[in-house]
Amino acid sequence: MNDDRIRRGLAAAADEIEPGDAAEVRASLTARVRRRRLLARGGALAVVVALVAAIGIVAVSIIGDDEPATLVGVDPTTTTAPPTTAPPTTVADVPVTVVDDSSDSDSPVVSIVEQPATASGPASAERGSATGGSESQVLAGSGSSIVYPEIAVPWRDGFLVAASRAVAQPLPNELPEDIRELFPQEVLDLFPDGLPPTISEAQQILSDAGLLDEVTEVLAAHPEANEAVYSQSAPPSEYDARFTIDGNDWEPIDLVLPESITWLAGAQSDGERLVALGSTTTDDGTESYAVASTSDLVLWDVQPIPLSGRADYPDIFLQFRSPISFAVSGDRWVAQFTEHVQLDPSRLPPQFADGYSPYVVAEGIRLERWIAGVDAPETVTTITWSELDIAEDVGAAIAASWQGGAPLPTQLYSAAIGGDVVSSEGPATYGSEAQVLATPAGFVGFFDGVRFSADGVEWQLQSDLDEQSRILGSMGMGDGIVLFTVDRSGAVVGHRLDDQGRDLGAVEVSALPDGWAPLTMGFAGGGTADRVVLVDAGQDQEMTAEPLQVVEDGFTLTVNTSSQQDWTLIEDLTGTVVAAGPFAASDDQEFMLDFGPGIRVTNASSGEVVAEFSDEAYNAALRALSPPSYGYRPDLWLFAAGDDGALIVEDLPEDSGEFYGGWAIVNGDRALVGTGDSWFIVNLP
Amino acid sequence: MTGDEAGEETSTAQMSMVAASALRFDDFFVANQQEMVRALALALGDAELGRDAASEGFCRALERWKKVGRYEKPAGWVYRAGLNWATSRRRKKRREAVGDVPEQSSPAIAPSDQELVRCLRQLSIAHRSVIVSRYYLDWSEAQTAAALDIPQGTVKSRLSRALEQLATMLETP
Repeated sequence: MNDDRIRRGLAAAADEIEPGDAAEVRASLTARVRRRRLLARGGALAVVVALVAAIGIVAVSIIGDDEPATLVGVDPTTTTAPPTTAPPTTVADVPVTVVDDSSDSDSPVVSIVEQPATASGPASAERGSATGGSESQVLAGSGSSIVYPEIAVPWRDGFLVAASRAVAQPLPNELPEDIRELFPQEVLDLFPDGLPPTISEAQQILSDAGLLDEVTEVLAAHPEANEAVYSQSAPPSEYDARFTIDGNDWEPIDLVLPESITWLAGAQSDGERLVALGSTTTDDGTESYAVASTSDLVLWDVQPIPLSGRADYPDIFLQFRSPISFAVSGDRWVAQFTEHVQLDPSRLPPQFADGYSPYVVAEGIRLERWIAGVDAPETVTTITWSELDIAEDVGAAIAASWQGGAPLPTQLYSAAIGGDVVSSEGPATYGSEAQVLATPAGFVGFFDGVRFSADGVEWQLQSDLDEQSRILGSMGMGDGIVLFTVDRSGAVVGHRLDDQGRDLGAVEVSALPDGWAPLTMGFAGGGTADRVVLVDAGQDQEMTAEPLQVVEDGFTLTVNTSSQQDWTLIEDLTGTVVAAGPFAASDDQEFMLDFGPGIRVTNASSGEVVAEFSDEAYNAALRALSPPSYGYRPDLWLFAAGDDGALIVEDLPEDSGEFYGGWAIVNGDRALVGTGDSWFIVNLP
Repeated sequence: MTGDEAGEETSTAQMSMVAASALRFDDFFVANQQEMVRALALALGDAELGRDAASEGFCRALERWKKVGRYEKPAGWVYRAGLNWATSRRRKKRREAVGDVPEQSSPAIAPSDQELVRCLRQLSIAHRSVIVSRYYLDWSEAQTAAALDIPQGTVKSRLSRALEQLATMLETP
């Protein structure tokens, strides 16, 4: 397959797509975000009302404007069966299908507890809890659960699940006179009684008046105005936190961040103490991170991490550090950060401020100015690294990072909780998957091979790891780990390691459908090796494209590109099949299809044209096609560590709704499993 | 340097930081909106759906910009969010369809390389989205994997299979 042809074809097709007016779309985004938040609040109330009216639900309460409603978990859209508060019922003891060589055929099985049990109704309703919905992270009131948790940890005798919700950034009460003068009078006239309390409210007013773009331009042109508008520091994130014991009843629980922390990137818990990696804003306005620990979710001990970079980048590039691992073992923690840079277009020289698209290339920053309808950029220029006063090697690193052709450097930080933080250089990585896991003995790092560290500072090489392998996930087994990697052929391989990362041999998993892989959430998740892991063996559904039908001059050509992969030419008047053949070329076919422009059906041996369809007819047929039917069907499994090193594999029921990812959290002998549209409890052996 | 000069320098740095931070979503949006609409339109095979999907992706990014803006490649997040939304919407529309009423779709993308576009159209969205990511957006396999939240091995296999299918279809006379 010719790569250039694909690139050219895609680029040409892309040029014919009208992307819409960017300013109009941008202006609509703020309004949509605001509308959604209003709808989310109103929706909670509406769902409660609907439930009460429809099924006479008994346990409903609404807790203030910003508080989500709490109600018995049930999907009001798919069932009329009354929910029940009856004890959970074990309904599925699916047979164990695979164990490793050391397994005992009498190993206890995992039992799934559905929540809540109902006598009848669709499966999605029986399992209740959260309902699928792609609009929001938190389905306040529609199932009392959280669809896309950012924190999911064992807590006390149950589980804590939480997601942040945006908090509007406040506006100052009024702007200084010299700043007010920068804005057009018609903007000032919109706020005769002073500014609204938040920036989003002001944006909405400006958007409704069609003046948002003008204000944005003023802010872009006058940093002092921007500073004044954004002078009130953004409030820390609020968390919608819920606690559950049985996966059915979810109670709101206070999770109040310390003042210095704006949001949490990851959290680990042993059930009694939550240790979290949080983002902070330093005095000079830059972002940093800290480790915070709490035993009551309200009072925290905060330990700042003194982040340092490998290189000094010029101001035109914003430097970011992103956490990819956060692991806690006993009283010590390890955090790993990647470093990357982003071009800040607002720092481009003024002559390139408007209309130029900047790209980072090997030589520097390439600037292109495009005119609508023209195939090539009207103006192209490159500001070289030397013109930007950037060393060639730093420029090369920036270009490599920008183009994705080089792994990102990482830095490791480690400390005892409350102790001094030690920094060390970590291995470079392409991905954002966690590379450090906690074990009872310390930390296992998946770097240039498997390394172990008792303190997160000194790392010893324990076993090799194919450098082409990518870590997909892990689970705890006894004191050790089962590590799942994908090799260069795309196959997933399981490795059993002890608690110091020493290789104990492969784990064979043979009973699952091809293409299985553990579900990991990445981004500072996966810091602990729980004794369960959720696995997806889902497959793409077969494409079911409808046939292409081209009609012209008394003939109908039907091209099946779905499963039959063939075509038929029919004379409309008589209904006679005039010609037919397979879609794939073969030596012995009698007739041939010749595409572009239009379509011709020819006799393969004589070359005689049997029928001809114009480009217009062909394009009309293409336009009449519905998009090919396609879907992804998850196939969820749960791996659990048995008593004696056995790997228990359990087929899980799937809902038919949306699939966002998976979570499996262990507390004692129970696991809370979430699939995005439902939560359920799994009793472990 | 005098104390005042030092103070002024600090103040300027703070101001710039605030400006950059405050404008970052808009910068990101302006730099990526056109490309994302086109990428999603190509991946979905539907220009109007592509516009809607991009708009939805950017809207979700704006809602979570505090977090998404810190990702290494926020455009990847928007791409995935747009794809997920569009495929979800199609499923929903199919469920809501009564009887055999065909799904309404906007006109297909007018093909330039007619043959190639025709063949691309026959691929599944999963395969098309990888092709578009690699050959239109020019993202690496690792970036594609991160954007689509699938293992890099899956990117390789989907790409290989998609190219194989394309080659077969394009060879067909």
